[in-house]
Amino acid sequence: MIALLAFGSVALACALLSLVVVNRKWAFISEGIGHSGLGGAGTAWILMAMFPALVNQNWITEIFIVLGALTAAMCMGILSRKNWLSMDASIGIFLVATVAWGFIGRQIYIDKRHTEPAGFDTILFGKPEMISTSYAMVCVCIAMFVVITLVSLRKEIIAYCVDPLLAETSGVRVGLIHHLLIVLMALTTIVGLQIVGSLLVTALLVLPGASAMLLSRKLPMAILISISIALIGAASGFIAHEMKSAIPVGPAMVLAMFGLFLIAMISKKIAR
Amino acid sequence: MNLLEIHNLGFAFRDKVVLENVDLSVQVGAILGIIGPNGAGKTTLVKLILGLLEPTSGTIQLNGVDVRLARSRGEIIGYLPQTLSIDRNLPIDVRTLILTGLAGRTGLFRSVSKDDHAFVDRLIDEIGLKDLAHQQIEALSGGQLQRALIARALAARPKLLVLDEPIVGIDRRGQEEFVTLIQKLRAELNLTVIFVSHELRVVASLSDRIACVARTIHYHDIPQRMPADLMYKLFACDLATVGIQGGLPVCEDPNCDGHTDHALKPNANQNALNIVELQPAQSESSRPR
Repeated sequence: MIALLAFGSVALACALLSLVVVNRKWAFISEGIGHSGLGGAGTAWILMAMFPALVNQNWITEIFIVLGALTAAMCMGILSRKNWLSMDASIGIFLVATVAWGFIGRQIYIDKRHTEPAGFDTILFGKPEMISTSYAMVCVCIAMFVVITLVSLRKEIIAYCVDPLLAETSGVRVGLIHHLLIVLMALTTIVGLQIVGSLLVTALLVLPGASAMLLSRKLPMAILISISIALIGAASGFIAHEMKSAIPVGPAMVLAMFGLFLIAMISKKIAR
Repeated sequence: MNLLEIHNLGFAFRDKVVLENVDLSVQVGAILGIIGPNGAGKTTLVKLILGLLEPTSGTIQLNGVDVRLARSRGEIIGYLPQTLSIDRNLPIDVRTLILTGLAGRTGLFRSVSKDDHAFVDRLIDEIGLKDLAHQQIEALSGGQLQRALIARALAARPKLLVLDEPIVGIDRRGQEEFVTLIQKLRAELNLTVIFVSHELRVVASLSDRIACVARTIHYHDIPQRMPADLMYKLFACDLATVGIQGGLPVCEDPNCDGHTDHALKPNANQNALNIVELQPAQSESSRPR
């Protein structure tokens, strides 16, 4: 039940942000943010290799994952906002740099401690069966924060999505909206890491919105469809795992959402 | 009384000087047409006027206040960009698109007032999109989308509307409709308009005064007084594209890219001035000076 609450919360946040992600063509930003978590963890593993007292203190790894992901997200956001680099290029740069740093940290830890550092598999593939009550509560809080922010700033966010330059000339604080959206995506990606891992977290932020845009051209309806697809996907993954424990929850969720995307695509084709 | 005053404006991008010594003023309720060859700094000037760029030197004042300060105080300048870069896949209707023009004026966490909603409905009526108000933006034609974006630019009731190359790719009939629409909106909303374009004929028919920009201001007066030799100098390679037929001296520069400021040719084409006078929007005496 706790896990389902966490999945549902993350799915809800992802579904709402997904429409922004698809519109702004930020599909790979969550991939970049997720992998930046590996870079953060790499720093923690190097510290653990240097200071034996820190070994097995998982909270240190978690803090560094959050710091790494948030720092990378902000850097990507600032670089793209200032037009020094396109969002695409900044994602690519931070993704490879942080992954390389993470692997170096892992190797240093293995050389020193002769074992795999804790959390390596979790970052890449997720570990939903290890979700605690406190983690679920964090997911709920972040989902609420995402919902409240998007609802409260909907007119500014829509103006930003229509065209950032036009929004700026209309007096919208575009920098604030840009960075706020990046932070919301970073927080959602970070909590999504334990559910599906950094390799698949992009799917949660792309598939619901992409499917919804295929099925409806009206924003309220697109939002409802996006939420429905995310929640159905989350529930399907959970049920599949409950029915056959060999099926991992995260990949099952992603495949369920992909199946719904295919149905949406076929429905659109038929409707034409 | 001037709404906009520009003094000794300069702007450089890294080491490249784009604009220098620009002096310009626009009276309240007037339409200023800005013309100039490609690469002359017209769009840079627009971005400086909008407060999106910081001048290297000089000042731009809107109602006596620095334009960037005015913007930070909530003063909004209506703007229609050169290219309609908006994402048509966004699932919103025309009315919602126009309402986004109010996002900055309304302020964070506040809803659009009933009065503003009523004004947006009036604008939709004025631009002739009443029947399409609830149509999705992806269904609009280029001209309809442009009109919707003009309404969007006016939603916050700006005193100044800046139109950057709004008639590129529009046929002659569309241009005439555009001129009529801007004149109508100007009269009904008491707008001051800055209109940047390559289309000399349309600029002349719409503008009370024109300013020729090519790094600096070469001319700033009513269209009818613009010297033909200056026009030829600025548009040597572009004149053929604005409707002058026959007898036009061809630019003889083998390296001509059509965008550069060419050397003045003596006895240049006198037709250029006639083109400017082709369709005056109103009698000269009725134009604000």
